[in-house]
Amino acid sequence: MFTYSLALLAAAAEAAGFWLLLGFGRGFDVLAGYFAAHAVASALVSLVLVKSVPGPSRRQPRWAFVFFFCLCFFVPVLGVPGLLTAAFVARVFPKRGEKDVFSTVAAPEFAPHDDGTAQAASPHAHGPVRAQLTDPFAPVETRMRALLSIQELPSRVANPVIRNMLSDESDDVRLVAYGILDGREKRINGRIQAARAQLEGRDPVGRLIADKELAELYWELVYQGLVQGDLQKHAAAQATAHFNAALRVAPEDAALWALGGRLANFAGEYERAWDAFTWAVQFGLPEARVLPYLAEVAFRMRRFSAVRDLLERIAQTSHTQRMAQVIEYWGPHDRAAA
Amino acid sequence: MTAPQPEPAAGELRAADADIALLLEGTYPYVSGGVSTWVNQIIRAFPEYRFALVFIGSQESDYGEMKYKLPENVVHLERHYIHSPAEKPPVRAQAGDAPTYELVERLHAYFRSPTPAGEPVIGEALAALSSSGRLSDASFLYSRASWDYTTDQYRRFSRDPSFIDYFWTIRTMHQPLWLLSKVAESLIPVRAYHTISTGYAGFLAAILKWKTGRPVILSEHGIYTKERKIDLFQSQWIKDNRDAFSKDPAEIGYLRALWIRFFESLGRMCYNAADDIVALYETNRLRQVTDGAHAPRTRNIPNGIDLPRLAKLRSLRPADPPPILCLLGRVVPIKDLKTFIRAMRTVVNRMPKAQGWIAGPEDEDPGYVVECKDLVESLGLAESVRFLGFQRIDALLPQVGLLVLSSISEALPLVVLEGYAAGVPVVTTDVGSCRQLVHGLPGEDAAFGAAGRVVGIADPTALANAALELLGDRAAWHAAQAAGIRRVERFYTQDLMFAQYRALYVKALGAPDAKGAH
Repeated sequence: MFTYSLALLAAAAEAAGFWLLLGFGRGFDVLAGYFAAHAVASALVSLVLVKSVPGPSRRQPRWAFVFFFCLCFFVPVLGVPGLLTAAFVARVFPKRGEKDVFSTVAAPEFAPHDDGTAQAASPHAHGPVRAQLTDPFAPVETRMRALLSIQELPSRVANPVIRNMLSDESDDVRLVAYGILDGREKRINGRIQAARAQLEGRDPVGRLIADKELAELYWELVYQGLVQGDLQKHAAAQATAHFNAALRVAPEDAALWALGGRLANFAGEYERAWDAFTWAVQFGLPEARVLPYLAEVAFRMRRFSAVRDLLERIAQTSHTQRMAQVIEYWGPHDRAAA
Repeated sequence: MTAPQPEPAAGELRAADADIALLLEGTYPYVSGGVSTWVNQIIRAFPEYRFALVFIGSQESDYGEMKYKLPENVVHLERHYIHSPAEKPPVRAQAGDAPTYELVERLHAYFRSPTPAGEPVIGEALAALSSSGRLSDASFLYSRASWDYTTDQYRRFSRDPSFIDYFWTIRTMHQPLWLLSKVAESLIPVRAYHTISTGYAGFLAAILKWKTGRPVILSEHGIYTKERKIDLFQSQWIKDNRDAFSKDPAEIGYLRALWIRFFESLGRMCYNAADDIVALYETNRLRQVTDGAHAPRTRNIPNGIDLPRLAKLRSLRPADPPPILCLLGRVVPIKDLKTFIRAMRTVVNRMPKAQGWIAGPEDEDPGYVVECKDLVESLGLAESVRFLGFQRIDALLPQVGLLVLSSISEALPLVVLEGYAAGVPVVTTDVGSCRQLVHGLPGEDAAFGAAGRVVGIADPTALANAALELLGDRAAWHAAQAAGIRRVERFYTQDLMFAQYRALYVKALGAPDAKGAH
């Protein structure tokens, strides 16, 4: 608003100048009056321009003012109206500057730094990781790399191998192996502590959730091979105790029954395991998830025909490559013979 | 030329000069433990020398009161904290000295692949490093040349995609070097420097050697870089920003690798500067040589203990070993107390009267103390495992049936020698020189027999079985006790240790200046 007022004042001053010049003859006073009015108009237009023009004039307003003033003052007749028009156009139709600020860059190449050593040092270049880990003649560097890469495998598979590395000759390998196992155990134990704190609350739902979580976490310690000997027994006992506590509150929880089946299987109580897995299906767990467990329990109970029946049912569902090998092995003999 | 001495802070001592400056990182007199006990022993063994102590810690709030009464011959004590919010130079844009950054580049190239021919670059770089010279902290923090160098190194070498993490890692990592440079500029004149580790203290020794030409002795108990590596491999605070596609699982994260190389490089600079490099036992000496120490400058001086004082404790023991297993040490992760606690589960299952005592200060890593106590609770051992805090060994050892050391890393633990002297056998993990301490070196030493049992690290079942075997078999226990006593009396007395250090000190104090040598 202020800018428009300035522009109007400028136009008025310039018009007043012309009015003096055209209407009052040719005396020195008239000329001086015109220049005074023209100077005022030029100053006002320059102010308008400094305020409305983007770019360098914003960073150095004084010099921009001087520049615009000179342009208006020393270009007679056209200077003030021309620049006023320019200021008006700049204000109403501002130029979009994005194109100048942003430009399209080439898509980044997918090329993490590789100084050529990565390929040569890849553990896979020298044979299976497990063989490298157990080879006492493999250089420490190779064993270390194999150890680091084995971390990527699922804990249950990797942990027993990593545990063997605790007796490696090299201090560094031993310590890294220790660090990996310790870190994994610490994560689970941290969650156990948090769940135990929940258990002390008064909220029965909270306690049920905590019992379920504790049963699962203690079982994880056993399942991932993070505990051995008496500690393994202790963890399994804790898992069973929390499982029982949770079951008393939620006797129709399918996932809980599945966990119970795995605990009983681990404890060698196969009848109970069979029943638990059966209940799990009864309470809604998809059969496909439970069938492999049932097959394992049947195998341990030496009910081999049941194993074959169960595997045939598994064959009808989607299953892993590894399971396919088991199904193939247990398949009808005539197929095997063929 | 020494800068004017600032006023001493509370608890500090000031002198105009001293004979030997001990450079102490995170140990005596503010932290108790094996190394601190050793430093205390050494100072007291040489009353004829005046010692200056330079304590380097992480930040002031990590340390409480002094844990030791300073002997009379400590005339100077100053403390510096590398992670305290130091005064930074005022922010001022500057070009930086391009040739200096070429020197820095040569130094880093040397650290990437060290060769004996490349060693002189260490001296050149240390000479350039100062609070006001060509390679000042202001230049590192604010110069164009420093920025160009950092970005160039990132483009050429970083496998981690985050430049921001790389940039701040480089800044955080290097800043303590200028603090140490200032410490070196203001330290009082002494005739020899004795650093008790590599790391920051060792780096300070290297600058001092370069500036003053006085000899440097390095005594390493553990191997500093190795212990840092353990911390760094396990630390959660170092980011790895690689995604699944750019990650080679066999490679550790680049920023983690940078930290490891940083400490290896500090070690290398210290080995380069040291005139005499002392390890506690042969494996560590060989490791020092692998890490850059010149073999002819290295030697072994095992720890030794005050035998007469501890031998008296034997008469206070009951005839039969009490079923008390004691872990004597700081409650910190490297001691792996959790394995001891887990082993106690098995021990108590089979010997219900057994007790596990954990005797050591608990102020160093409160988080770990909580984890250990939680473990005791979750294993149902609250009645059988006790945390005693710091204890005087004279009162404790006569009550103990077995010393246990479950550490994942040790050097030559004094506590084992103290146990032997007081008539207590040990069950220890196979780390550092523990096997040598239990079974002896080949020859006369091994003929004394086993002074306990050695088991693998992080194997609670094996630890428990070994402890139960010794506690349950009177004859085996007494045989181990006798072997321990004979071994410590023959090979690990402090008189043997002091004699060797006396020779080192005499040589160093009488040596001429060798500014810029090596």
